[in-house]
Amino acid sequence: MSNTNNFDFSLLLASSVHDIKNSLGMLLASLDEMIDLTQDERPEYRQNFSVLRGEASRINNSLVYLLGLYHLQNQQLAVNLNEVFVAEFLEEQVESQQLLFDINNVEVTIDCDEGLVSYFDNNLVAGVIGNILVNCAKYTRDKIAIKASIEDSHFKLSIIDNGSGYPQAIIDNLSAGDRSINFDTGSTNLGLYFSQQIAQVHECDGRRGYIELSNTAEGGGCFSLYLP
Amino acid sequence: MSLLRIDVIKMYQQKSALVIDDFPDMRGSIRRMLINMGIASCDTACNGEEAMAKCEEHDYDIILADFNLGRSKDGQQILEELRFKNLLKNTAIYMMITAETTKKMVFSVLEYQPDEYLSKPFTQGVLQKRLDRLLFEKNALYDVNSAMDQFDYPRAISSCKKKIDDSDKYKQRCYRIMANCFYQDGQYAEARQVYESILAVRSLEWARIGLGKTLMSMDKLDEAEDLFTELTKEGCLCMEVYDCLAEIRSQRGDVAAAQQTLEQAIEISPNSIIRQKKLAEFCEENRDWGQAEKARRKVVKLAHNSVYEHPEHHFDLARCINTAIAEDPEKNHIRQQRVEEVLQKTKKKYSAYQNMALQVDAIRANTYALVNEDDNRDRLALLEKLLKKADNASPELMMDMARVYQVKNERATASRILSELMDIYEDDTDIASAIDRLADDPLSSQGKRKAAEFNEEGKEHFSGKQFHDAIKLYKQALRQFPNNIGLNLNLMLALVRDMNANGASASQLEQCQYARDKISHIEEDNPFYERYTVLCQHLEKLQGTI
Repeated sequence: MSNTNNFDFSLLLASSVHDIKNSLGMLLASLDEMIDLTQDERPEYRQNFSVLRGEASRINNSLVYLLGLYHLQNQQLAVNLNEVFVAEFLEEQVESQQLLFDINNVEVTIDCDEGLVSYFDNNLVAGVIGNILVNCAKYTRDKIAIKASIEDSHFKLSIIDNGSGYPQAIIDNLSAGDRSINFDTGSTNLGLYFSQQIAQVHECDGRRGYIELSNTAEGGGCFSLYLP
Repeated sequence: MSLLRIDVIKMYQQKSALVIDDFPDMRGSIRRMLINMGIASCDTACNGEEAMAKCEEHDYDIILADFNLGRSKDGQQILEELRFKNLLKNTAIYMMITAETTKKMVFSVLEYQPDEYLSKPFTQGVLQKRLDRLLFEKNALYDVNSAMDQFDYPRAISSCKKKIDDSDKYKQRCYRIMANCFYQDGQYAEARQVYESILAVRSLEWARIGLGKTLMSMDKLDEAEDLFTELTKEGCLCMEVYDCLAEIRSQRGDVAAAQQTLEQAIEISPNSIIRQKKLAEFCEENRDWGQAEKARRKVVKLAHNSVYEHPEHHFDLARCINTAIAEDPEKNHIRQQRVEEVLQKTKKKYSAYQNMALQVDAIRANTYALVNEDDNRDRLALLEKLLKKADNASPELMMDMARVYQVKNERATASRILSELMDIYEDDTDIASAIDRLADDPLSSQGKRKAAEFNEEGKEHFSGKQFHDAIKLYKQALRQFPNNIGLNLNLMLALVRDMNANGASASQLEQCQYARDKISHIEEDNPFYERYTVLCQHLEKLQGTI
């Protein structure tokens, strides 16, 4: 190896990710337009579009985590606390994946007090929610319920589906307080790792945010995000 | 949302929008989305220049700008220029479209943030939801924002108070606007109280910055400095925080620290011409000529093709190099060449500028006088003759002439030019203090008063034998009146007394020599002459001890 190859690989990776993300943005936009144009005439393509749209969103989310974690590692990730009108914020998050829900026939409900106001970095948390929603759209049977409330002066957000639930190994891993989620076990973990990091950078009066995973009595998965 | 869809469409039908993006596909796509929402008219621009031109002709209600616009100005720079030129109303929406969700944009002033950041990719549904929300908010806060647009702060404050009393949905937003209005209106105690009540509940960045600025205006520099320092440590991207920190340090007389603070800010955000200019001034005060020239060159570069474009930036660069020649006689030949290059370029670039040839000659005459060029006499005579016939000689040009005579030790002629200038410009504080800075004695009534105050305060320090305080005071005073004989003598005296009491140090000796060199032109008929020679003898003696 010559010394000229001695560049900062992570920086190079980050800028490549940035470029890929831009292209993917254009790709997603034209895909949406195409779905819009063809869905009435060629309903038989629905399943293909579902896969296309779902996987493209997943790639986009993965890139968001990569960039996010890169900035986090380089201490460039400043949390920008905003006053957020939660109901509107959640509607927007659902809206951004609406096409995916439509083609997968998933019904999404939001249970949130119209006047609920909370403080968090809306862009970072949007990344977390987007990740969970895209995953749920894939694994749920036909329903996703989003619930938001204030509990013990924490802002609590739960996303509950009626699929077959989270694998026990992942739940145990997270509840054991094991911060280093095992990257070997599956692809969803990067998203969870990112979610956990984002939760933790939210701090108020010495309290930090965190995430929790569980399965409901009916067997579906439940993801909860707590922010101080 | 209680409004019906039809009402929302009606709302859009009354709005006009501008989309700024360098990619034609993106422009078209966003424009289509807006038209689908029912917007009345939608223009597009592909770069900063086009965007600025369109905004000068039209008051848009909604502006969507991509942050990254290739080689042109970025979306944040466009926003700041629009706000600076008052081309963007508070009632309008400015939304920044970014490629990343995580990376935050640097912004120069707290109030120069966009209303919203929207990250790519987004669907029409998402854009619509965001715009709906912002339009509802702008609608609800219309009274407040339009009062702000008219700079009617009392009206904006009372509108905010009403919303807060009604527990309006946007009351948190109202607190923020209200605190800023109190601050702008000079009601600092009220502003402070609002910021502190917000911060008692939650540590929000805008409130911390606002509180810091308010404390600064209340002259509570220590508290403000603590707040700002903490913010910079956390990687705050509001560059105003650095500007304020530098200002605090400069007010305290620690210009080296002020320079350092601005250098830090410029590393993060290199393109602010105002900050770059401020840095150049600090460097000059610190006699850091290398950095000063670098900063002056950067100012020239940034001003190119911007709203700040002006030949004075070039002249300031030439003057900066001239001062370096005066201070440090080494490498003068190269410096002289550099001044000449700057002058030639400027003359060519702004050939239509009034009195350009005279201005260039005046700065050149300065250089010649400094390097003791002999053939200067004839040139200067010609310049004088032409100046008498010239119309509207600018104050900068006349100050350059005064500098020439100061260097040639024709102090009386220099003083005459400066007092004639002061007669005309006494009401213009910037020019008046620039004249005072150049003059041997302050000429403006404000300057005279200030200098008298300094001397009065200094006397107290002397009688209490507090030489350190006296040194600090006179150094601060000399920043405003660097050529003042009395103040320079007093600084020498304070330094000599301190060194006699506590032993000489190299840095104090150097300061003392610098003060001596500043006034070494005084002659025997000067009433200060005797004091001057006595102090010079003391200085010599002290130099022998080290």
